[in-house]
Amino acid sequence: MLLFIEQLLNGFQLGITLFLMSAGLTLIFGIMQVINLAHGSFYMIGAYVGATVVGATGSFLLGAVAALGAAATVGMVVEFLVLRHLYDRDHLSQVLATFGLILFFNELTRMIWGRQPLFMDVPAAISGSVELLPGLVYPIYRLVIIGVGVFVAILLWLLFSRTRTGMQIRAGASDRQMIGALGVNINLLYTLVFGLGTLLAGLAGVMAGPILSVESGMGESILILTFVVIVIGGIGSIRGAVVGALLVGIVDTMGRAFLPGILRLFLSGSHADSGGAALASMAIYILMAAVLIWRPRGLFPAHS
Amino acid sequence: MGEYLLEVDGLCKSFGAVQANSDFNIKVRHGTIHALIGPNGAGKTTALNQLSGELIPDSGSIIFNAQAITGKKPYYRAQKGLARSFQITSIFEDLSVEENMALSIIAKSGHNFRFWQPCLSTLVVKNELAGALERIGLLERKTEKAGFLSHGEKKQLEVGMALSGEPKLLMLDEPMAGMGPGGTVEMSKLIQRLKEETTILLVEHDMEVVFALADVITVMVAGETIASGPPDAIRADKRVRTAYLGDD
Amino acid sequence: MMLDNRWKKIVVISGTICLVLLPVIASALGHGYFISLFTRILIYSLAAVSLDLLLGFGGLVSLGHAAFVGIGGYVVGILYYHSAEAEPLFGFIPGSENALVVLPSAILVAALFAFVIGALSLRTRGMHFIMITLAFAQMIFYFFIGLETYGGDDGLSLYARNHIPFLDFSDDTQFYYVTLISLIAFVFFIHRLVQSRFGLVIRGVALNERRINTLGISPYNYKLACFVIGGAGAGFAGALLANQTEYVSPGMMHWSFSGELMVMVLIGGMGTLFGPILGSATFILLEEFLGMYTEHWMVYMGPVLVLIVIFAPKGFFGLLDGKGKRDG
Repeated sequence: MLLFIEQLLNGFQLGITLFLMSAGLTLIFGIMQVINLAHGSFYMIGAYVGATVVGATGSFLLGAVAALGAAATVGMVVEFLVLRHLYDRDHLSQVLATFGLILFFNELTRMIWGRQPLFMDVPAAISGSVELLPGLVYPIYRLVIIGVGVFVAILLWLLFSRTRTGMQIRAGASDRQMIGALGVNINLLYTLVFGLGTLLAGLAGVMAGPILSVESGMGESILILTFVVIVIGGIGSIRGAVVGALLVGIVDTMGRAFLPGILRLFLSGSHADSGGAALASMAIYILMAAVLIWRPRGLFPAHS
Repeated sequence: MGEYLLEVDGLCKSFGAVQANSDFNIKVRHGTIHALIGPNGAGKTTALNQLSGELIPDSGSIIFNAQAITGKKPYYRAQKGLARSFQITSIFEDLSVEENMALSIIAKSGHNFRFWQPCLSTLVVKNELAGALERIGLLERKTEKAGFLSHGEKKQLEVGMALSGEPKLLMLDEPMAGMGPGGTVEMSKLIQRLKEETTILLVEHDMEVVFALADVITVMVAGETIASGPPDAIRADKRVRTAYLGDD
Repeated sequence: MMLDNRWKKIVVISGTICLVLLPVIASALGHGYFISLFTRILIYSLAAVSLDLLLGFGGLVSLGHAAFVGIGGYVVGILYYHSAEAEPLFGFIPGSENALVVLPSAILVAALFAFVIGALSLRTRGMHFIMITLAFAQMIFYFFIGLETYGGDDGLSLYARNHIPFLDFSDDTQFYYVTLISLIAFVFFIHRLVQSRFGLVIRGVALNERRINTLGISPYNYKLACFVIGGAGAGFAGALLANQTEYVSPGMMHWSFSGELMVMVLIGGMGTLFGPILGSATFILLEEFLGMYTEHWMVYMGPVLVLIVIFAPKGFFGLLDGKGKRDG
């Protein structure tokens, strides 16, 4: 039972990481109608910069700030140099160009930091564990991640439904020319939105750094999960991103934790383990396929 | 053969808070040119999209050739003889003129899971292509890319394509849009000629054309039908004058 | 239609002559290694042409094409394994090393997977479709990693290529010509396909699906058939690849391979038949030779790709098109 709760919390925490990634990506998809395969690269940049600064200064706070700054800055530069030329192009062109960016960033990190993964320590202040329930000890750091995620979700919700900038962004989504005619600088708006999206990705990356290993190509594994989240949740919808991220995070984590055990009831030892691991990896895709059959546009598609 | 080719009753469609169609009715007789008019924003395009199947009505019924087609997909309706053209000409710009026409021909000749013989050499295309292109005056331009045609020629091609399937009902969505006076004359002549072959539902803004061509006119205002009848009756109808043609 | 200008004709004819003569030249110069390098180019070209059918003609942006290559490869690998171990698959399907059994099986199984994945994915369109094809390919990737019996993550080694009467696959030169003939046959098949009624419908769907609907054609069935044919072609390429390298691994299905195939189609020219061949040759040769100078050649490849997409999206054959127009 306690194991169940622990894994549930882990699932939540993965869900938060996925939420940060997918919120950024779904914004970019929904508002700018551009598909960006390189979103994972900003996650990676956040992790690498964060790890390096933390390693150099010992301060996690500095590392986090640097990570966010780097991800947002690189993001806006990329938007200006590359993405801007792609808004009116077809999806295939966007896919290919952003694939080129992935190749570039992955190789760049290998050039700067080498092939060995970097390690990042959890900040000392929150590195311990806390007893949530009798017998259930859970790392504080993971709770912090969950907390930060919820905080960001609330901030985003406030931003989009309560502020003028948020309204402008949503309006820009539905009619670019109109809002340009109203005097809003659409180019600047898009750059800022993109920067926001990549900032969120960088945040996800720097927070995930201590838990996973920081290496070239880490962005792509999380990116594909992010795609699954968005397909399930619905493009352009923050609410969809929340629900999708939590679903995927929990299904994936619980699947990995419990499927091998369940299979062991039916199959022999090693078959159960490898079969269980394979099935667990496939679980979210099966979930995605099931959602698609029922709702081809996702659970909460934004109207466009 | 029933009295009406197309019978539409109480069609309603909303988009969120906007009620685009609130009670759309129309009855189109065989062999007529039936015009649908109304001020901008009256909901004509929404109505047309529900007829062609791109939108599913919230309520109401559509009976075409004695068959209920209310929930059916666009390609099903097309196969049953309901053809349409679009306000913004919709053809295959990157294909040649003959390829465009060939597509409409093969669409009506059974399935197209034929993988080997070049399409333009197949029997059905060879038989019908020249005639179909001749009819719209584009035979000499057949190898040109459709995207290079003039606006009027593209419209001709689109109508020609809709016709080649020998439709029972041809729905024309603002065929005069963007045409100069010469083009309008040509298109009007074409529509007159077509009356012999098919029934026409004409959505149009150009009042001269409408009153010259139409046998029956239905007037739509704010999402619903307010009047329907022969041109003279419509011209005299007080509600129409107030709502649309302007008070005298 | 394809070779409508002088320049394209020159490129294609000279290219074909070079390919036909390659083993002779390579042996004469003592660089037998080129034979296997070009065999790889031919196989990747086959995969790229099958992807071009989807991308360039059908307008279906599938990011999971590598999965079908991998599936074709694994059919070869699995049948080999069960033949070598003399133990039937699932208890009743005998293993085989006979190319006449194995290659068609690979094509069939790949087509089957393409049918199922396509049937589900094609219910969506646009960005959804792109992401879903990627996700399904990942799923298959993980599935094969989980197959411990066939090596899992480490892959499976075959210790011999398939057998075929009258020929010897293990002779690199003979295998090269078999691959070359396969590629030529496949390109010819796709050429006929694209001109056929089916091909015209597919091209129409890619250009204007709405109009296809109003003409009375249901796009879904045709898109699905196109997807299946593309998948079958990829499976064939995968089977040849497994034979050539005598090794299969889940890496064959990794999405980055899908990406590379797309790059090959792009560089050469989408929607042309010979473009993907040129693109695959360019990509692999660059990888071989640039890779000798710097292991970080990708850091240049990435931006070059971006530039090509933004400024020369029609690829090499597109540039030839422009040249032809200016000259003609």
